[in-house]
Amino acid sequence: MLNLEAVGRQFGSLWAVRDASLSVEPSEIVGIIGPNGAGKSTLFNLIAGAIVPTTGVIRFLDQTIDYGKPYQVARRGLARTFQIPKPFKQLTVRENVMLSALRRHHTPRQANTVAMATMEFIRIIELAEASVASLTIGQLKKLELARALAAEPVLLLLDEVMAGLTPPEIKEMMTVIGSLPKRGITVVWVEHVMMAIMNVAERIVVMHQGQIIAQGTPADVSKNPAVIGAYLGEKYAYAAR
Amino acid sequence: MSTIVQLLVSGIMLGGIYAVMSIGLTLIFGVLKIVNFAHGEFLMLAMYVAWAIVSSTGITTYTAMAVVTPLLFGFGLLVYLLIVRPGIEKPHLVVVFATMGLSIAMQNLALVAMTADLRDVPPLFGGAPIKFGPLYLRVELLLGFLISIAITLALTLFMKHTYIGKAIRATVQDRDAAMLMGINVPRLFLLTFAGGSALVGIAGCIMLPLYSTFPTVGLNFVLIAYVVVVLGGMGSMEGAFLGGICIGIVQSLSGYYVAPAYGQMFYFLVFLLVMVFRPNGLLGQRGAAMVGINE
Amino acid sequence: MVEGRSPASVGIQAISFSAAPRRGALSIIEMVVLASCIVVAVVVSNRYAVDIMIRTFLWAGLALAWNIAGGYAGLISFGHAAFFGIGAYTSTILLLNYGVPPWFGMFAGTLIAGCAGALLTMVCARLRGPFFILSTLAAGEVVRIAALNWRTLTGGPEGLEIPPVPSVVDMVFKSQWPYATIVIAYMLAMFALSVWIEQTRYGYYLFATRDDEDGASAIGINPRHTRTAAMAVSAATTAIGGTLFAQYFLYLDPTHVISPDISFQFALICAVGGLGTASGPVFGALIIVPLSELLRGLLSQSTSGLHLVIYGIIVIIVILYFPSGISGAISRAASRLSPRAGLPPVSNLKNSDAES
Repeated sequence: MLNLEAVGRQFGSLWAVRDASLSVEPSEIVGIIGPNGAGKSTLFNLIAGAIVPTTGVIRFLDQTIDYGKPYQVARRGLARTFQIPKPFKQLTVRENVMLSALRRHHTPRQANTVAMATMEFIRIIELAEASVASLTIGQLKKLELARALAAEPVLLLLDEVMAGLTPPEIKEMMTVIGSLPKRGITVVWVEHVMMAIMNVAERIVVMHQGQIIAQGTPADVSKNPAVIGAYLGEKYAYAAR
Repeated sequence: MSTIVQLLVSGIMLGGIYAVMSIGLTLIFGVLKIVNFAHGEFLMLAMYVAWAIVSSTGITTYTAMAVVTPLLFGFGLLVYLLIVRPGIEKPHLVVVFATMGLSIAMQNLALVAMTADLRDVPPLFGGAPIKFGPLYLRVELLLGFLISIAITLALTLFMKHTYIGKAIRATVQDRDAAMLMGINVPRLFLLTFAGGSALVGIAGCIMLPLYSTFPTVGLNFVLIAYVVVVLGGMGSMEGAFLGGICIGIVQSLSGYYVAPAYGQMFYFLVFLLVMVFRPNGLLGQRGAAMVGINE
Repeated sequence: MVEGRSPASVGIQAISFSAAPRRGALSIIEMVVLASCIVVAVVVSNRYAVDIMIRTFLWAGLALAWNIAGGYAGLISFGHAAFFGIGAYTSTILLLNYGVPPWFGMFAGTLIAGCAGALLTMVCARLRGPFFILSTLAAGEVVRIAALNWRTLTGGPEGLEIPPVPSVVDMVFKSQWPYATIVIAYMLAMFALSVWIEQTRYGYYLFATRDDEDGASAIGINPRHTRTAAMAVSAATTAIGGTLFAQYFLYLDPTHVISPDISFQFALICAVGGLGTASGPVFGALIIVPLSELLRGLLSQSTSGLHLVIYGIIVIIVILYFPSGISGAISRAASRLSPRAGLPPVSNLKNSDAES
């Protein structure tokens, strides 16, 4: 589904991402972790089509992504969330979700139905007519996810969705994300909240200083000395799957 | 050959004068990040006040500057408090439309009060141009140019060495960071707007001997001012000066070699070209036009 | 702030009536206003009043055209007079030089203006805010000066005159009624177009692009295409109004037709009436055009220009204290009267909450 071959991105003289190779299979949940400055956001934006790689090739559904125009990638079935939620402030919650649904359902009425269903799934249906300005950060994050899902993507990119959520909200999100492969959605997920990502993702990719230093199951990766070293000894206990 | 030199020289001098007119605007545009559509009318007001003083007392416009400048400062203060400040935190089109309304109101107030007659002041020294070698220069043009150099220099020094000057430069670059650094940005807005208006007062005094004043004189110059500001980059004193010179030269040359009316079109085309290829101006900040204002 | 509601009471918004002007649906107030326009049109017989009415409806249509770019797409243009002029001049030149009836010449003007609008947007694609506005102003002026000097094509400053020989084919009429009908048809067509845009996917895409370009791009919207299309449609429909203007007033000259004053007028009518709603421009025109006439009639005797001073002051007050314009004010008033009526109005300016 998604293939990165020796992808790199240079900003000035800094290689934010260097020689990254990664392959994601359908219905997987792949998590990307790494200390700050590891290049996760750059990699994320490369996959999302927001920036163009300097070296290497990214293939989504066997077609290369190198346009730097996110809407082309989005039209092929990729959806992303924004780390700092960017909803459309002039529209209500429902209208925000409906906008995403409009890509596949061309009339507002159809899109509305899909939007309602998505909001039920994410459990923000009661906020449907609220204005965006009145939402809490947890609700905004859920809105971001709802918007991404309403586009009915085949690949979902999540950008630190857990940041700022309370523990119950985190647990709720974990359940939602975990159920996505059953709905035919592949997930690539950048995250800092270890508890969440280590318990939900099937495969973890660890980045450090622009390069991928380890890939494997959460259990393997957390024992990997290079990974431990990268985090300077930070270890998070996690429940064994 | 000497024609070209003559054209260039008068173009440069004219440009200096355009620069004075635009320096206030570039400050306002750079610091407050708003478009003041009434800028031309401020100039018109300055010119009328100067004319009134000169006609009734007989002193020259250059002396009248001492009165016109503080008057325009006060006017700018008033306009800022009543019209600009309520619109600052709102989407920029509020200020755009509000200043447009002001522009219409002022133009027609002038029409009502002063009629559409052209008003001018008697030329200095009986109007004889001074001869500098092969060149003939109007005294008022030369004086205006010298004053514009003085002002640009003074302002550049001001911006570099005084606290307020540095505060202004900081705010032009990043308003929020400036606030966080303890700069009283709202007060700075007030000062900049009023100060920019005062500069327009000076410009009016310099321009009156060269152009007659009438109610819609502002329209002619406001677009030139914006072209200069865009060329020079928002908030840059040197940029405004250079931009003014460029436009002065363009206008001088095209006025002679091309039909005068088309000459006017030239600087709009220059404006559009700059917008397309170097929207941050020749000396301006990167990304300013892309990001826009008020975002 | 509207609280969330139980899923059962949240319906699909497409067909429901409410008092307030809302995006995507006709409100009762709008229907009343439109109906009364038509009634007034039929009933009034005073020649002067009919003239005002014709001009009001023409401006309403033109403002609606401007609104597609300025209100819905957020592309505030102060150069729309150029498109207006292109429409007026194209059909007139075709009529005078080649005998082409304006009914057909209109479409030529529409085409040219549409292309010009698309070109303008593509050139200014990366510009935001005041830079975009100023660029449209500059572009408009370029067109005006070109028209002023291109004597062979446009007749220069003396302008063009259409012979007042009544002929249906040439769209010249002796009585005012045919003009009134045509102009009302134009306004209604533009109104219908606006409402249609609001209700379709394209309208939503416009709102999204206007609101947040990156966010829009992330969900598959191509901002450039969306904007270019909006401007092209806006330009093309403005050009139609230009032709109607030419046929009614029978005289064109660059200074009066392609002037910044006219461009400002389009924008101001929308700002006063309410940007980005279908009814806003109509309300705006209904207020501003007769008001200008009234003021001019009352005050011009003593001093010419005073009415415009008042006009300018009104604009300042309205835009500072009623940024959502008249239709926004009506929406708020209506939703206070009947809190369950429909959805909260889509405000066009970010902090309309601050008003209430």
